[in-house]
Amino acid sequence: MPVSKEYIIKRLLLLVLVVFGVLIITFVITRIIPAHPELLWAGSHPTEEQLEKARRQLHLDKPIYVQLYYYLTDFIKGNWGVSWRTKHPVLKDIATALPATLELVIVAFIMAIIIGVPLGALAALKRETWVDHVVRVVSVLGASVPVFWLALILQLVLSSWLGLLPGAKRVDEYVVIETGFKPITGFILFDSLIQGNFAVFTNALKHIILPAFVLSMYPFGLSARMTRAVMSEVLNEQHTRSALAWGLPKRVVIYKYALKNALAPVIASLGLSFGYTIIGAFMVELVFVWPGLGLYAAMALLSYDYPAVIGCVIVVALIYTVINMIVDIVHSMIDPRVKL
Amino acid sequence: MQAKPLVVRDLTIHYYTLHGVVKAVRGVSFAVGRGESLCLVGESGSGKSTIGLAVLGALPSNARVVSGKILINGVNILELSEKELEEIRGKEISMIFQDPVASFNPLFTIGQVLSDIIKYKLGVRDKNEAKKLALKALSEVGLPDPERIYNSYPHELSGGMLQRAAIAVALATRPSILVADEPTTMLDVTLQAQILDLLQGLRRKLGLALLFITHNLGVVAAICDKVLVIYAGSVVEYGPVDEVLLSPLHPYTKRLIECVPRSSVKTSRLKYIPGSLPDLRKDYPGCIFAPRCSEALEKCSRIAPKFVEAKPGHFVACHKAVKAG
Amino acid sequence: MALEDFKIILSLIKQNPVSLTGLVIVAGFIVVGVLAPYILPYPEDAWGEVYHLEKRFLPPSLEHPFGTDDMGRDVFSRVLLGARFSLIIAVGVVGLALLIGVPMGLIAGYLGGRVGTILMRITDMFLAFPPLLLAIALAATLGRGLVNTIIALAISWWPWYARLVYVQVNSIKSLPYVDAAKIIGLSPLAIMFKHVLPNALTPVTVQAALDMGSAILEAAGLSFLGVGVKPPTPEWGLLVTEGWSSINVAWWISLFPGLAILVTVLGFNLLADALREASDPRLRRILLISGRV
Repeated sequence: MPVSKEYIIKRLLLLVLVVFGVLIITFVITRIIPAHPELLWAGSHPTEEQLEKARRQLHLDKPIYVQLYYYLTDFIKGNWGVSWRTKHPVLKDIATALPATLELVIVAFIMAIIIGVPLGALAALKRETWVDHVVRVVSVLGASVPVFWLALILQLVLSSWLGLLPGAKRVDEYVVIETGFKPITGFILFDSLIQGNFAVFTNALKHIILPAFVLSMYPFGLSARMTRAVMSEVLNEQHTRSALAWGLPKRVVIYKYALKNALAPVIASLGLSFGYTIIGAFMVELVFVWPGLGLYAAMALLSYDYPAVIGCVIVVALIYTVINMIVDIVHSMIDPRVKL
Repeated sequence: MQAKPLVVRDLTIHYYTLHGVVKAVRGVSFAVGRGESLCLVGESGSGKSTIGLAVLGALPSNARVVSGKILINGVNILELSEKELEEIRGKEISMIFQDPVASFNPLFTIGQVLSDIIKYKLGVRDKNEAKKLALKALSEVGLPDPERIYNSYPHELSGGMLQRAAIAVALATRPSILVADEPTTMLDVTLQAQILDLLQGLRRKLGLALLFITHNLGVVAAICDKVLVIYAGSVVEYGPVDEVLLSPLHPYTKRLIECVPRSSVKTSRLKYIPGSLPDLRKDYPGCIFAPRCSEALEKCSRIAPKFVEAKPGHFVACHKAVKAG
Repeated sequence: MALEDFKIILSLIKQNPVSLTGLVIVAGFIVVGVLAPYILPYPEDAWGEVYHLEKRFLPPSLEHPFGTDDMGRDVFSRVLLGARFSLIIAVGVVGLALLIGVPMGLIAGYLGGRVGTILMRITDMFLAFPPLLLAIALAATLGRGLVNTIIALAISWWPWYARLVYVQVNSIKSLPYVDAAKIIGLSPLAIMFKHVLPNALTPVTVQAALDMGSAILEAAGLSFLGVGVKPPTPEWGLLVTEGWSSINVAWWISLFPGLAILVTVLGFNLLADALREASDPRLRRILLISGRV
C-alpha cells in the first residue's frame, strides 16, 4: 500500500506538535518546578559568578513567556548548553555518542526479533503444551529482570570469571591501532564491514554480544508474548479456516498469511519498547563502559551535569517519537484497512 | 457404476469440552453423486456444520470422529495423514462459508489468495499463467471487472461480491465436491437468490457434488435435489426435496415446515417448536425427538425407531410415521 | 467496584499453576513488606548506619544467609527491609498515578468534545516520553529521596491510566444501558459515577495492581542511575548498586537484592500474563498494549 504525500505531511505536522509538547514539558520541569533553576545549571558547588552567568543564560530575570521563547529558539539553533563534565556543547557530545547507542540497540532488537517472533509463533501453534509454558515463562522473565543487575551478573560470570567474552568497551584499542581502522559513520560493525576490516569487525562483534543480549531481554519478551497472543487469535479466525479448507498448505497459511496479521501489532509493540530499551541502555552502557548516549547520560546523572541530562532527555524523546511515527507508517503499509 | 464422490457412513463425532463429552453427531449416513445436491437441514446446534467440517477433515482440535467412514472419491479420509488431507482439500473437495467477509484475510488481495491456491494446488509456477487462471475463475462466477476484483482487498468489496469471490476461489482448482455452509444466511434476500442461481449453474456446468448446509427451508426448495433432516445429531428423514417438503413424514420435519412464515396462511403469531434441543451429553434409548414431539407414542422414548424406506426413496426414522404409512 | 469481576479473576488464577505461582509470590512479598521491621535478624544492619569492621564481606552462611556487605551489615536483613520500601514505592506510585489519571480519563471520556480532546492531547504529550525518561528528568530536578522518587514515577505514569480509562469510558458511553439511563432522566453526574465509572474501573484497577511490579523495577533503575532513593535506605536497586564496587570480592551483595527484584516483579508479571490469557480478546489487547510491561 503506497503511503500518500498528505499522510506524510500530516504526520510531520503531528511530529512538530509532539516535539513542541516535549519541549513544553521539559521547560516546566527545568524552569518552573525548581525554585532556583540556576542552581541546577551552574554545576556542583557553583561560585556566585557562575550562578550569575547561569541566570543570564536562562534569562531568569525576564517573564516566563520570554524565557520559553528563548528556550525554544535556543533549542532550534542547537544551543543546548555546555556540559559541566566534558566542557563540550551538549549537542556535540550527543552527536558523538549517539551512533554507539543506536548500534547497540539495533543489534539488541535484531536479536530480540530473531528469537522472539518465531518462539512466540511456535507457542501459539503448540498452545497449552510444555513448549508454550516455557516460552511464556521465559518471555515474562525478560520483562521482569532488572537490566542493570543482569548486566552486572553476566559481566561478572561470563567475562570476569570465565573469560568467555569481553566485558567492557566497544572494541579493543590495539586492534584499531594495528589495523589503522578509521570510523566513518560511527557504527563500528558497519564501518569495519564495508572497509573489509574483519579483525575490527569480529572484535567489535565479541564486544557487543553481552550488552546487546542484556538489552534484548525486554523487547524479546515483548515480541514473543505479542506474537503468541496475536497469532493464536489469528489462527482461530474464520479466514485461517477458509484458507485451509480451500487447500492452501498449512505452512503457507501460518507463515505467510497468519504471520503477516501478527506482524502489525508486533511492530507496534516493539516501537513502544524501543523507548524502554534506550533507557535500559543508560544502565547497560554504564556497566559495560559502552561509550554511547547511555553512558553519557548516566555519567551526567551521577555527576549532576544538568544541561547534559536534559539534552539527553530531549534527544531520547525525539528519537522515540520519530520511531513511533515510522512504526505507524509501516503499520499502515502492512494493513490496507488503516486509512492514510 | 462409478462410486459417488462423497459417501458418509455411520458418522459419529464427539466434542471433548470442559463440561463433558458432547455427542454432536450420532451415526449419520448419506451420499452425494456427481451433479447432485444434497441439503443438510436442521436447527442451529443440530450438528450439521460439524458434519460439513468433518468431510473436509477440518474438525476443531477438541472434536473427534469416534466411528464411521467418510469416502471422498472412494478414499476414506479418516485414514489419511494430515499431509494427504491437505492434498485432497481444494483438489477434490472445497468449501464456502457463512460469513464471506471473515472468510478472507484482510491483509491480502483476492488475487493473492487465488494465485497462491493456483500455485500450490495446480502447480502453476508461472505468474502470468496463474493470473490468467485467476481472472478466468473470477469471471466464471459472474463478477464484473475481474481485474479490479483481483487487485481488491476484502474490505473494498461487498458481502455479495466476496461470496462470489469465495466461490471462485473454492472452485478454481476444480474440486468434485463443494460443501456450502449457510452461504446465503448473511446476505440480503436479493443477493441470496443470485448466489443460489450461481451455485445451481456451476453445479450443472461442472458436475459438482454439492453438500448444502442450511436451516432455511426456502433455500432448500430453491437449490436441492435431496434433503437430509437432522435433529440433535441424528438423521430423522431423507428423501427427494418435493417429497420431504410437501408430504413430510417425521413430526420434526412437519413442525419445521410449519415454522416457515407464509403469506398465504393467515396466522396471528409465528409458530415455533416447544422445548429446546436435548442435552447432547446424554444417550437416549428411544427417539431423541420424543420429549418435544406432540405425536409421541408410549414406546417412542423407550425404543429407537429404525430408519426405513416408508415410500420409494423417502426414508424416515419414526414409529408413528412408519405405522401410518 | 464490580466485585463479580474480581471473583472471576480470582477463580481464573486458581486454575493455572503459573498464575498461582505469581499469586503466591505477590502475597509473600506483601506479607514480608508489611512484617519486615518485626522479623529482621539484625535490625540495626537493616536500617543502615552501622559499621561492623570485623564482619566485612562475609560470604553466605547460616548466620548470614545472604552474606555481609562492605560495612559488615547483614545483607539478608537489608533485603527483607527492602521489601517494605519496595511496597511503599509500588503502592505510592500506582496510587498517586491513579489519583491523577482516573479523573483525567473519566472527564475527558465523558465530556468528549473540545475539553476531552485538549485533555487527551495533554496526556499524549506525556506519552511522547518513553517510560522512565520523564521520571529521570523529574528525579534529576527534584533530587534524591523516597518521596521524590514516588512523585517522579507517578507523574510519568498517570497518562497510561488516563488513556485506559478514556478508552473504557468511550466504549461504555455508547452502550445501550447508558442511553437508557439518559432517557429515564438520570443526571450526567449520576450516570458518570453510578453507571460508567464502576465498569471503567475494573480494567484500570487490575492493570494498576499488576503495574506495581514495574514500579518496583523502575524505582530500582532510578536508584542505579543515582537519582532514586538516598542511602542508606535499603531499597533493592540501591542495594545492588552499593554492591557493584565490590562485586569481584563479594558477589552476594549485589546478587541477592537483584534476585529479590526479579522474583517479585516476576510474580506480578506472571499474574498479569495469566489475566491477559484469561480475559476476553479485547480486554487482553488493551492490557497488552497499554501495559507498561
